Amino acid sequence: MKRKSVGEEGRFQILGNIIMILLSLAAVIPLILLLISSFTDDSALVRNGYSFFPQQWSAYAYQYIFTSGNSLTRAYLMSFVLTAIGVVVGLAITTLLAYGLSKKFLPGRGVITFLVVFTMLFNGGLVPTYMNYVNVFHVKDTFFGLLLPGLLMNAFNVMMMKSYFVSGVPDEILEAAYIDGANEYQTFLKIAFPLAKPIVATIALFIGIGYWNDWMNGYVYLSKATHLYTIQNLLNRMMQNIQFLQQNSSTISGANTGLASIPAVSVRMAMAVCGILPIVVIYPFIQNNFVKGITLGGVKG
Amino acid sequence: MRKVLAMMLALVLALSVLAGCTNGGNSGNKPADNQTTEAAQEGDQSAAEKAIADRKASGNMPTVTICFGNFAGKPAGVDRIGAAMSKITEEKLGIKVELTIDSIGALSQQMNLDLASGNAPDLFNGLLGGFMSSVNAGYLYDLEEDGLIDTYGAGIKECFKEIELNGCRVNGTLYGVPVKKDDAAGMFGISIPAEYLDTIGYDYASKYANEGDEIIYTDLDEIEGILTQLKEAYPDKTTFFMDATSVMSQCLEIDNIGNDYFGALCDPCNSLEVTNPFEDEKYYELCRRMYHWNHDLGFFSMDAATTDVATTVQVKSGSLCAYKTATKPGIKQQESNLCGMPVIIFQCGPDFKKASTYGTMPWVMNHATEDPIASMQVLNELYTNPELMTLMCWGEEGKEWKLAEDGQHITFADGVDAQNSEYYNNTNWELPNQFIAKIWEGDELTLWDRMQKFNDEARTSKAMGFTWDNSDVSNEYSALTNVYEEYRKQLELGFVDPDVVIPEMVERLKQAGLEKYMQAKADALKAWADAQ
Amino acid sequence: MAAINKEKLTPAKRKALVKRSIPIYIMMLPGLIYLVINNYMPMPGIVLAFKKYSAKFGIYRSPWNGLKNFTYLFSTPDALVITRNTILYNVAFIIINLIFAVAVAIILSELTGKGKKFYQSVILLPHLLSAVIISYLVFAFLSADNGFINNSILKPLGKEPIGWYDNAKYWPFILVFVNLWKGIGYNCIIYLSTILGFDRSYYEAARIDGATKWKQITKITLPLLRPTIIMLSLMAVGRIFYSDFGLFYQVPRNSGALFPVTNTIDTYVYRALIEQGDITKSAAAGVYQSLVGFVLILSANLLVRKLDPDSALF
Repeated sequence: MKRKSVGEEGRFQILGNIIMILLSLAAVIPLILLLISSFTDDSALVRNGYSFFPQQWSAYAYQYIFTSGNSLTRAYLMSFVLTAIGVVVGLAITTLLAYGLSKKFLPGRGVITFLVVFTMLFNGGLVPTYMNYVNVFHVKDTFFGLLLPGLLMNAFNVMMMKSYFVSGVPDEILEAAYIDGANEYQTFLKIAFPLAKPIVATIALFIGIGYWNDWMNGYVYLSKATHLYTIQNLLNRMMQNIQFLQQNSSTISGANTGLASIPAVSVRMAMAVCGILPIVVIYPFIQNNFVKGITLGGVKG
Repeated sequence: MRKVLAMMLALVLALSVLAGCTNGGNSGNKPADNQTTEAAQEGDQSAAEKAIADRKASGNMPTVTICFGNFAGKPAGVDRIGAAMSKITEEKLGIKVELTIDSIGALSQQMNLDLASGNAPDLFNGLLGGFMSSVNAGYLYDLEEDGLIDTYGAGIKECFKEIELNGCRVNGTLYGVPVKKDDAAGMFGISIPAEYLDTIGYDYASKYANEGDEIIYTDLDEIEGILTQLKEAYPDKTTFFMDATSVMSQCLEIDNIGNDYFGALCDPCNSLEVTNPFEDEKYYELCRRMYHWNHDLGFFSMDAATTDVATTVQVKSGSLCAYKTATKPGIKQQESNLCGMPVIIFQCGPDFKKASTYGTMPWVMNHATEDPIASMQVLNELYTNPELMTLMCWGEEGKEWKLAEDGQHITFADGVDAQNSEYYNNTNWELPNQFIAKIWEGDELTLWDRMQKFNDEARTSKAMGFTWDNSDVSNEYSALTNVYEEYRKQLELGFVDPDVVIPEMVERLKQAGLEKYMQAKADALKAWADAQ
Repeated sequence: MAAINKEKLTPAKRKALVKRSIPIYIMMLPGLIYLVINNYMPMPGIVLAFKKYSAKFGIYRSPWNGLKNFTYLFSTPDALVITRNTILYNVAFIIINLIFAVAVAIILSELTGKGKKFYQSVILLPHLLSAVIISYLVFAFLSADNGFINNSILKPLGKEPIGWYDNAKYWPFILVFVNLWKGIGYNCIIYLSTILGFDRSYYEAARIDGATKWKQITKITLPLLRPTIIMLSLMAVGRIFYSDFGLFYQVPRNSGALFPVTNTIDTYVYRALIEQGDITKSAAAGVYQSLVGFVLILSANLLVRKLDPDSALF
């Protein structure tokens, strides 16, 4: 009996590892290609296409990125600061709202839930949002222009969290604490929050990725304040120029000159590498802590 | 559920009232322009001078903001250049200027938002935000309101003929001023590195019509011969390539009035008849030729329709032998620079000037500009003051550039190059008047005279001065664009047989409302022609 | 607890309820304020979709334009194609992403070795790439002249190179694959964290009873995951008229030959408005997409409430 289950467990482990190795390879191979092409001589890249074994190596792309214009270190710093603040603030307001929505006794819960979900479906559009943030809240060219619009909290995260509170944090435990004399704040902090760690870690990750990957806010809300550029702002402006030129190449006589003056393929690849490299380096550490948090939260009952 | 909906509705209503109030304040508080009317009543020159004198006397300097886009993002020296420009205008006009430069892609996105929210600069290139869409949204200032341009922009009017300015007129209203640039384009230019021609033993030197010409005028059969030899000599390279989006506009003498081909003048220099260019023999010939070159002779890369690497970059990397370009004076130098090797330029079509040429990237004024007179005077100065234009084009003397050894050209200042310069935009084609700025080493001193001659002598569309406002048939436009985009690259780069596919495309275009759209265009053109 | 609302409340109970609710409302306040600022204040801008915009009057005072801004979405002969593509791709994405994400989450949750963490971070990486970069990577594989598939796979096999970007028939599969590849690491996280939150005692009891792994998965994990699956699917249904612009525009490199299978509502609108830049029409497209999503999500939610009240959104 016991032997049988071990055998089955073993088979599962082997099969599971094989599947995950295949998936990991599928994810990693294109990224290795990305890395190699960023170190490939540009002419070779244009001539022979992308290759795992380039004819000619070159660090020109990185030289270009590190020497031209804005400071990369500063942009990295901005990205980290923004992501950190965004995660902390975003997580706080998301968790609190979701916790409230999970309270079945709360009057008006249905209406508020609906209002939250409604924002997932309808929005005022870019122009009215811009006018709101720029003319009413004056976030243009400030750090808040990067932090506030869109990314801090979204209905999806709130609903995910709410559903976790409903299903993963048993009411009985909370009620017991309440009856024992803990107030709502204490119940939340001491009991609900620790029990919800897996989802807290997940939502933190989602918010963090959202901030790290975002270039739109910088694109729209920063014009003069180039010192606030995050790494994605820096990298994406060039991509956007390419797109602009392609759209207008039939009307702009200078488009061809412009396209030729835009850094070539290897530089675009190097930019992408610069964008995800810090994540690759830092993620394991974050994950370590997350996993600890998750397992702590998981052991219960 | 009903309760929920009701609450939501109430909330939205309450918010809309709120928003209506806050936003209402933005509209309609433009300063009264009685100053303008007053000024216009006096003599022209004196009104402009009076405005300057009044400004200086009051000690109250307005600020005019100027904006254009480049490809490298905000240059480090932009504030310094802006200050230097401001020094000139403060002294001469009593107006401060502020210069903003940013990546053209980001700016064009921001410009739409800024125009809608009332945060846009006073003067900018209409390319940002799109000229026609800005006009339709009411973002642009009528430059003739109360005689603004006549009174305060006399210098601008001297730069352009009336018919050229009319290119920026939409439904009779003047919304912009063209830039001084290559207004015409040599159709179907072909650029081939001299080195490759030497290899196949092609004697290009003897083909020039006159001593010192920069372009060899020839025909496509001759080019086909050259390309065939190149294909043999360099089997590993792509023989020929065209940027997929500009094939029609740079190869055929067809005037796509309003920048779309859904109804065009196929005999633009002689007739104002709007016909379907896709059924025109010229289009068939082009597509058949490309089909022959691609399908039969294998000149194109299989990736021609999907690559986004610029032609000149491909040549530079050694993967391409020849490509199409639109020609103009100075083209040989320009393309040689871009390719990193000397090229020979051939041309198989005429020099041709489209009706839309002056309306593509005019300088425009924000409808919400606070002081239209000051903005117009600055604009006027940009078109007429060589010192100001040189600053805007090339930066400061001693910092970005210095006089070259011949004392007339300019070149990089000591220790400065394209990489480390604090102001090197390489986008002078979108600035108001590069013709009066200093000339960079490598270009001939007579370049702009030749350019003017080229513009004046090119075959000109009869619809010159007409602009096409398609807002009444914009639904058809959307549908037509999607259909054309589906076929264009395949057809124009010769991947499919035109005798089969063109009729198919035309059929789909007709279903999408081609005839209605063409009719609207023809009617507008006729109304315009009758009024001339 | 759930019954409290429905009971007739005595004054004392009511007072206790209010007393309990106030702290909760206070906790929810920051989030609600953000929703007002970020979502509800710009929301009236929806009227833009029904306006003939002129900067002179601003958004709210511009004259009304009825439903004219919407007509371009329907008056084209392509309307059917773009709607069909948008819906079919979304349905495919919802189903396929769900199956793979749940499967990967279950495998990851059951793995005991050291590789687990590595797998989890590695499969998340593609999610961090922008659509433009993905389009380059896809091009590296599919380019007709230099692509790996043509050069390194088909050529050694003695097969003719394929013009991937000219052949529409391959693209439904390519797009589904790219979407899956990009999203799997991200999509599985939520399921993984949910599974990790499950009470382990269920599994121990099952093991003692001699239940196989497969039994544990089908009889414990999947039923416990059901509310999460339903909720995520419900939310995805709300976005069924939206499409990932980068995936359908950048990744196929705007290749005309592929339009029949890559043109979606978003790419159609983009192409239609590049030149016109008409903000009222793009607003109209947004309202149209939202409205359909709204109706679908309400009906789906209604259905879920009938079948499984606990999993409903609201």
